[in-house]
Amino acid sequence: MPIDYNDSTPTVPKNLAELEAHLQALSHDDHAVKIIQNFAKVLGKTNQRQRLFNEKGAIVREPIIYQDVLHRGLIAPDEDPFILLQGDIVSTETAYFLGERMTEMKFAVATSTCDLVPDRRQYATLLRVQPIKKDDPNVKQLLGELLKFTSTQRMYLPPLPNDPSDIIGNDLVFDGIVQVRLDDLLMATRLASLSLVGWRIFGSLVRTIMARAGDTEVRMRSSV
Amino acid sequence: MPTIVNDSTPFDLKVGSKWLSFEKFRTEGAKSLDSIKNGTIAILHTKTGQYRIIEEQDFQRMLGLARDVDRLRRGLRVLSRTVRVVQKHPDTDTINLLIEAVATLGTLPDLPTRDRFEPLIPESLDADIDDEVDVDPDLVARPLDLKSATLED
Repeated sequence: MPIDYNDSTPTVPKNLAELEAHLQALSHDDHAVKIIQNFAKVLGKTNQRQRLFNEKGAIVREPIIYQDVLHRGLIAPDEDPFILLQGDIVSTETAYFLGERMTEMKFAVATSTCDLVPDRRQYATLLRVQPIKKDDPNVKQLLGELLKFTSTQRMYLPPLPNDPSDIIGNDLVFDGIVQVRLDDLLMATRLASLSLVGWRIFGSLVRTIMARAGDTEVRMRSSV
Repeated sequence: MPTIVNDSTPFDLKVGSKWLSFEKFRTEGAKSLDSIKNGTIAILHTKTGQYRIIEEQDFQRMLGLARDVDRLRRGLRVLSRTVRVVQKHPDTDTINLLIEAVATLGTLPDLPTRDRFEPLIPESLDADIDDEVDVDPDLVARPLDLKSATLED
């Protein structure tokens, strides 16, 4: 039974020290990533992980379309219509990285879905997707690492629509944030959405990469 | 070092097919859109107005260039204001300001773009020699391959 942290009856921290104690297992917890790593580990060799994660709907699926889910009754008519979802793989020529405009590249939408509603935000955040080619140096080791989900800066994605035949996988890179105006992003080409489990893996990695705690840092902050 | 390239290929639009009614467009079907690519756009006349049809990739490129035009316009505005100040008060300070403004705009109109990052390299040097990895594209499943997708005409 999951803990309902909105339920104020059980324990409300009485001071800042207690507040920290309540948050320490939640704010910087890496349990989710450990679960993913253990799952990948028991699958066997890298090619077995490739086969599982490359199945249709395993990590990625066709873009989820608002009109379709509305028609199926999966979203209420009074909820905000969406154009994009968090984790969608898109291509756009209107995104910038350190002042340079990115061209001919694919991205994953890092901004939460609820912030992708038109006019709700001015800007959105993207993460770049880099192709893995069959002739890349050390391609086997690269794929081996990615499919163990042990990296703190990368996530494996299968080949995507429009990928040339020599691309045998993709790498969602968390090292470096790409920025885009929300209005421009909403006109991007949608290539794929993440499956439910793909979205959970993505969310776990984003959270862990942005906020993870080392013992030293905890010790330092609690002592100075 | 990252590879930095300038997106210098000219972007030209050419008029292609033209339909004088929606019905005419409908009866010709999706096949008639085949020629709309690589800068060729089509014109559709209907009772509600005239519309241009542009291929997705061309649209994305045009939108990207429009963003650069916005960037450029902001820079030019600063430059033209600076020139006016220099005309009004031609002294060392204002001339230096003009030089600085021109230098800031850099190599106009070649705004920096980038179409790739450094190649990916493994994070660890400890290779697992017993590992088995599919690198033959014929063995790698492509879950969203358009060839296997069902698309409506």
